Amino acid sequence: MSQSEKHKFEEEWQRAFESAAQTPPTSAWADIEARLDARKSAAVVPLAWWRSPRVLYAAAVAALLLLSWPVLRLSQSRSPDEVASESTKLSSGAATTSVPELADRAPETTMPLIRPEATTQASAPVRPTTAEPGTQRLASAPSAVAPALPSALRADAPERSFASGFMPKTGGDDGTTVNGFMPKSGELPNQTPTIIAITSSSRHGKPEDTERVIMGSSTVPLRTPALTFQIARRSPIGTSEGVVHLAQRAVHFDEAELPSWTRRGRVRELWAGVSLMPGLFNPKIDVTTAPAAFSNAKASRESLASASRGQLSYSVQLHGGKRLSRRWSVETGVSYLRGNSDFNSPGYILDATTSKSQNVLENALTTGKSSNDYFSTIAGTNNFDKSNGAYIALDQNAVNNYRYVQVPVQAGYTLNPDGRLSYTLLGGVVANLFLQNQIQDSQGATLKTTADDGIYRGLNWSASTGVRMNYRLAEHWDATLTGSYQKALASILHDSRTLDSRPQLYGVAWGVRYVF
Amino acid sequence: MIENEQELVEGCRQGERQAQRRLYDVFGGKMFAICLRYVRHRADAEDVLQDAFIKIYENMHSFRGEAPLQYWMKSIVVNTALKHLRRQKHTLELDEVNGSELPTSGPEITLAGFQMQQLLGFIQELPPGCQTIFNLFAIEGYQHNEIARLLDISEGTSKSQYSRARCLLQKKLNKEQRFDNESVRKTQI
Repeated sequence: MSQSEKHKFEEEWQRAFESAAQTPPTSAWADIEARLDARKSAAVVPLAWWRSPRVLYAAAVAALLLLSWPVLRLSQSRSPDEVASESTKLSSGAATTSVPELADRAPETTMPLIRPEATTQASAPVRPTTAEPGTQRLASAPSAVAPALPSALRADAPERSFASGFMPKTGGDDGTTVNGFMPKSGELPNQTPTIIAITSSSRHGKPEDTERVIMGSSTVPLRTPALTFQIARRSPIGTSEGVVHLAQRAVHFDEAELPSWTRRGRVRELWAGVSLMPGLFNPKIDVTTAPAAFSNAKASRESLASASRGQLSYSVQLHGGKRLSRRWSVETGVSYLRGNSDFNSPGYILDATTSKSQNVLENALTTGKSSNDYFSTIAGTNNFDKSNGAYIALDQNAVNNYRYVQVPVQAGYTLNPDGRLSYTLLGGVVANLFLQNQIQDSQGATLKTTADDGIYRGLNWSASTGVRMNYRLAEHWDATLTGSYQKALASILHDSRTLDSRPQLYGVAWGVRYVF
Repeated sequence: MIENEQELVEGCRQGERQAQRRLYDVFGGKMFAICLRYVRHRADAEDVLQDAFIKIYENMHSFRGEAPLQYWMKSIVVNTALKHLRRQKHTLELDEVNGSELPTSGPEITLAGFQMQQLLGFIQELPPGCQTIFNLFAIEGYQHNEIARLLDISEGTSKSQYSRARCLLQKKLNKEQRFDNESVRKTQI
């Protein structure tokens, strides 16, 4: 069969189908229209703000502020040692600290918790009792406060012993001892010492009752904002003064006597954990300017239509954290990220002389580097003639994988911190250390780039945010489930003239952590 | 129609539903015929058509007008059809070519006298891999090296599969023509 016959055969088929048309089903347009409507409504969601670098920078700054605020707050507030030393002064009877004279002896009346005139005596020295040297005066509370408190903690509750080992009975035949109002270990919430102080004085009767003191071996400041506010609010003098007086009170107890569940809530809590995060990594490659080979082949516009798609990726994470306060925490760690993606281009350049081809990503990466030596030896893309390339408009998918080591630094704010199930809102930055990028086209040719090649930035920053659910499995073990999102703050490429890439990663991490 | 092509393109770029509908009305039939050449079932062809038109509307901004709109749309439809086949792994079904199926020298049969519907039927009856390669080479005009790259096969496979497709089609055409000639002879007798 001659060549002309062959061509004739094909030409005949081409002619036969040149103007062929088949009426599509009437439902086809309705379906297209429905899909267009669905896409239009989906596009209304205003997510474009994520793409703004300014917003991302602002988010990163906000995260850093969130991170530093608890630290500053802690450094400015009084340390437990300071309070302890202050308490010691009080105990020795030489204290001139402002423990106010709050006693009010009028029974069965709705007397204020703190007398207005008492505020003028804020510097009144403490008058120690003879029976218990080195004690601190307690505020009296009206009986109106007591009903609002748990019955077990009220003055009329049955006598219980909590700290009898180090809390000597203060005299009084009516049994108005401190021990009398102390529930047993395990039944006492965190605020108990403050409540005790108030309820003990609320047993108004004898003048000496107002002189009741609590003494112990160790000191911890009690500044429970909710309770302080609750009590102060009931006072006619308002909250401000109440806060001043109550905040200066110290109650002594032995930490060893605390029930175990309260120890988990202590401030200086450390943890370490491991997790695995399946996720979607998208390098978000944007061809900003057509490479020369594509421009010469008059395919500039086609080259710009390329797009990357995220594929299933994973990250193995080791992390540790520290609880700065009841709700605030800071954490860091190290993780290995394997980010998989696809690069889809509507066509590629074919070198007519060498029959070698490159999609726009490969072409931009190879020509973006000052020297092609690396690629000529590794990828076999040497001698790619920019002026002799023909653009082939055929859809092409290339596998585009990245490897990073990540070091996140995040602040956390925990909701329901004492519950078995708690939630932590996370925000911060991630340092991404580039290891390797590997592009594999549909023919199997591989282009491998490492940090030494100078194409990708060795260090790149991302903003990160997320939510973590912490479930307490045992006293020291938590199970965690973390949904997180990361977005690069700048292009991961050194030279962004042709390509811009700001990867994003979102995924759900499963893990466990050990709480020390 | 053609003089309004620019307006149509502009309308589609703006997302005007009327322009999109008009584009579909003008080119839908031709594009559907292409879909039918690549897939066997009408329902699949309808799916490909829908996907292709969505792509066309979404990528209208990248149409620069250097080539006729129809050719640009055609390339999108062909690509969409190939993607559809790839998803269904039809292109992988490239059987070994039998010696008996290789083209034999003989009188070249012209397509004159055959209805388009008949020819479409012949193409659809080809084995899936053959069908795709025949469409790409004979009708779309791609070269074998391009087809090889596109379908992730070797150039030799593309050539042999095309030869097989051509042979099978010639046999069908021969058979049909013989049948027609015999029918004519019988009616003359």
